[in-house]
Amino acid sequence: MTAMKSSSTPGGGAAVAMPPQTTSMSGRKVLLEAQNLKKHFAVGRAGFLGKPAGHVRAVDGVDFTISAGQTIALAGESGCGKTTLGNVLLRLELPTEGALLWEGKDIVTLTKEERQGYRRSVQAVFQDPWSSLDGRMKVQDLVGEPLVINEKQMSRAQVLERVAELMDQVGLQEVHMERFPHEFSGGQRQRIAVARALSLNPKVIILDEPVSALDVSIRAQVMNLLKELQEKYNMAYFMISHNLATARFISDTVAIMYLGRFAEYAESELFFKKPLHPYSQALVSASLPVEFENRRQRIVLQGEVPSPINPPSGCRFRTRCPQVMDICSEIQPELMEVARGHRVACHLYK
Amino acid sequence: MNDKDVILSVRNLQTHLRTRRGVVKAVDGVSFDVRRGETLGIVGESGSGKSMTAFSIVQLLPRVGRVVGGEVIFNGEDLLKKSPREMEKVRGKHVSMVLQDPLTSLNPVFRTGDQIAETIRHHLKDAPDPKGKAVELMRQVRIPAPATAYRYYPHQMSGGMRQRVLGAIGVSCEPEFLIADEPTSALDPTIQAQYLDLLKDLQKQYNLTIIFITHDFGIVATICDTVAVMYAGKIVETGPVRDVFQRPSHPYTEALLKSLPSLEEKPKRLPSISGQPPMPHEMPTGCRFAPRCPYKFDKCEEYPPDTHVSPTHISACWRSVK
Amino acid sequence: MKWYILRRVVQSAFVLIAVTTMIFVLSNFLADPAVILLPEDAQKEDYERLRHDLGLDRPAIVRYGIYMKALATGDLGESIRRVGYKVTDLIWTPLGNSAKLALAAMIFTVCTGLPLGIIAALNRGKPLDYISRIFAVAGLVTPGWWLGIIMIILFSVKLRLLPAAGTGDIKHYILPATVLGTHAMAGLARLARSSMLEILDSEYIKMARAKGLPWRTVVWKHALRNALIPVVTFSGLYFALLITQAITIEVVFAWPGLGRLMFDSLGSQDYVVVQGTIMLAAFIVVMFNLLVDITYGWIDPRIRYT
Repeated sequence: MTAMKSSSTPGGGAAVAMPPQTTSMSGRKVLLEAQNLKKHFAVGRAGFLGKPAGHVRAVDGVDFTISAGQTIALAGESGCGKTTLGNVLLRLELPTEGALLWEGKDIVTLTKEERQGYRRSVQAVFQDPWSSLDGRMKVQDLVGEPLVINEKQMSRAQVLERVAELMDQVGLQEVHMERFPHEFSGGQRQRIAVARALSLNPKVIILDEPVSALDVSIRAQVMNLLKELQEKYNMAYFMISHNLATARFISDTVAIMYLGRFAEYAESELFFKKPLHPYSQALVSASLPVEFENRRQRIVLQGEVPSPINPPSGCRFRTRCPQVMDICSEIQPELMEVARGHRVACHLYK
Repeated sequence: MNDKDVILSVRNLQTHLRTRRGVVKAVDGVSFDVRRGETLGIVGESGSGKSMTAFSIVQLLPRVGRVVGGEVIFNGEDLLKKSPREMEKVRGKHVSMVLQDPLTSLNPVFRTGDQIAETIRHHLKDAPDPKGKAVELMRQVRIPAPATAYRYYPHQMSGGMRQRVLGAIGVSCEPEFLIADEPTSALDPTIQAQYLDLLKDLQKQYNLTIIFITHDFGIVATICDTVAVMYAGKIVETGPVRDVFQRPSHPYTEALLKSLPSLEEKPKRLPSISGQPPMPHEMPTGCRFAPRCPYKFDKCEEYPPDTHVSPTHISACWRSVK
Repeated sequence: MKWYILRRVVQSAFVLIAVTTMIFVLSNFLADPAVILLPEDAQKEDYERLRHDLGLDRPAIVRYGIYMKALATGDLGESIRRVGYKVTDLIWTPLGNSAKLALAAMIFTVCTGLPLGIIAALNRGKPLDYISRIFAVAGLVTPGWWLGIIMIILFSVKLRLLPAAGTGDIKHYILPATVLGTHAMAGLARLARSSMLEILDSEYIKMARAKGLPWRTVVWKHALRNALIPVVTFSGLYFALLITQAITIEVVFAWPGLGRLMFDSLGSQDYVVVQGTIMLAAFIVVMFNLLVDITYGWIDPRIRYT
């Protein structure tokens, strides 16, 4: 029995440690800010009665900001906590510790109206366009549903008009509105999902592996679409991906996550020119290019990701790190700025 | 090609699927050769027929599938002429497979070690110690503490470890030929890197010939010697990987390679391919790619012949026909 | 596995307590047993005396305590019609008879339903599949009592091959067991078919074939054990139901089992006996649930090791 149960005290006691940021370094408006954000889950039962055997530290202290028009790509492998972090951003889970601030306010303590506003402002597009759209609903109802729920003053005709507009924006035609999801290919379904996410003019869209379930020849179309829409509406994207090449194309900031913490957090340009953390380097080298010239050196890591219930002491990556040192088991490295716009949590850079 | 080194020669293979909406020509006249010791990558999107091609070779098609024509010459014998009984002696012993999803490909109610030993017991009747051999194989595929791992059930292992168990089953009877059907697509990037390394080692050790089926062009560029690009049931281009990837001749290959994002640069837009692959029930009569092709012209109404761009590089496009 | 079993046992205990409490509440508060028992011309004093004799004049919570205490020692009370008989004594022989009948029915069910389902699955879309599916549907829609009467007329009255009523040698079992098991046979056949089909389509069956294993090994070793997982659940639960739901069949075949006892006790308004039989039935169902869970853990390592 591995019952996953949200652990208690959702952020309640954790006071906001730092004053919220209002503008980022680049002068853009800060929408979301995570301060030492943690999300733990109780798992399993020790012995007979249900005391949790341990806690999965899915997200274990991350700091970042999301500003208007910005795209953060969060990369890491399964179990690193990227999905949980996405869920916290969608307010599907509340933080265990630390805080997530929405325009300066803790998302835990939002009033009912503010919560509604938050839900409208932060939308999502998920990985699998087959399971994420209800097959019994027509496209116009799928795309219009958020409007019907949130914009009660809108008439049916107004909703349909808006849906038609959205269809056009994502490259579908008005005639498609009367159809059901199964009549569409994967790429078109993902467009429908994007249209649905756009319907309430969100400020942030969480993109959870938005193209990895699509055919290779379709991915570029959808990625281009996402970029166009961002340029048009100045939305912030928070993209979860394990594909670094996709992250490179779409993002301006990259966060590499390992066992609940950021190993590296940097501007994309800097990161891909020179990834610093040994884990990032391995991850980058595992993204296999189709070119034969100037291929990066392949780094094959030993072993597997340890359990997030009992992460290694000190640096969590040390058990697989090719450049491990004595200090790594003793002190947990903090994320430090080693160059402007480039932060890394590794003892190699001191 | 009557190369002595050719271990597998597939000629005009045709596999049909009977579906509610009619017959789907999943594999529609596919021909290729694989030389001993090399790795052929069959690359394509879902529905391109790449997996069906592989399963036709070993005759493990779904219930609705049937090979309706062609030849599969393996070591001089046509596998398609063999009875189901005879094929059982080929599978696992001479041609083995590694499947895509390591969790669902292992039987949940048997110990992983036993699932390896079972193959050895079945094919090598006089093997002295199948259990010991299984433990040895688990060590070889770098499963830590193999004697303990032998007793694990599949659900007690990680995805990477399970995929190694499949690898161990694959080489357990020292086959000459291994078909790997997207073995890494369920794995994380760093675990995929480990697995590809392992596969290369096993290939050296057992002098394996490998068909690697994938949708990932990067994997093909990294581990394959030759490549066959499939689109809508046909091979549109085949040849040495470097030739095909550096000088793609078919517009589909060319457009696809261009559309892939790269780690090295960040273009404003990706050159994308318009439209989508044809539905299996609505195949274009001529070139399958013509509706999406930027170079389309009147000749494309008819299916183009396989044309040699170089002695080893073949493309099915009218633009290559001189 | 140790913790798994212990956890299941304790859960079962809680379920039993809840069920017994519910039975106590239902049989004591929905109707006043004293009113049911007394003749229509009874006087107020008779009523009060009876209530006192039955202990009904004490507070509910005290009665509940006495009742639970008696239950814990396996005491189900005394019959109010057959004076001097303890319910436990009355139940014992019928329980044995019902169990024997249920076992016979179960054997029939498993020996027919399982092969029927598996044959259907292995011959999917072929005539054998359709024939066995028709059998299964027919079994599901035929009411047991009707089938019982028809079979008595056919085999006992017309052909004089089998006895129509009562217990005795193996011949006595054939008719009631067949009739009792038919429903379950049909259900089991359908379940076995669908679970077998699902498994034959699975990746590990493909893998087993890719290993070059002969088809019979693939089916009988790799597929069957997995297909048995839902079948075990079904069988265990159904066995419990067979014992407890045999009222009509036992009446039709004059089988001196629990169903008969309950039927007769209902007729004579012997509420203590009725209550006792229901209690026993509940106990049997819970025990079989427990048994199924444990067997489950034995077949499926995913449950054993968590």
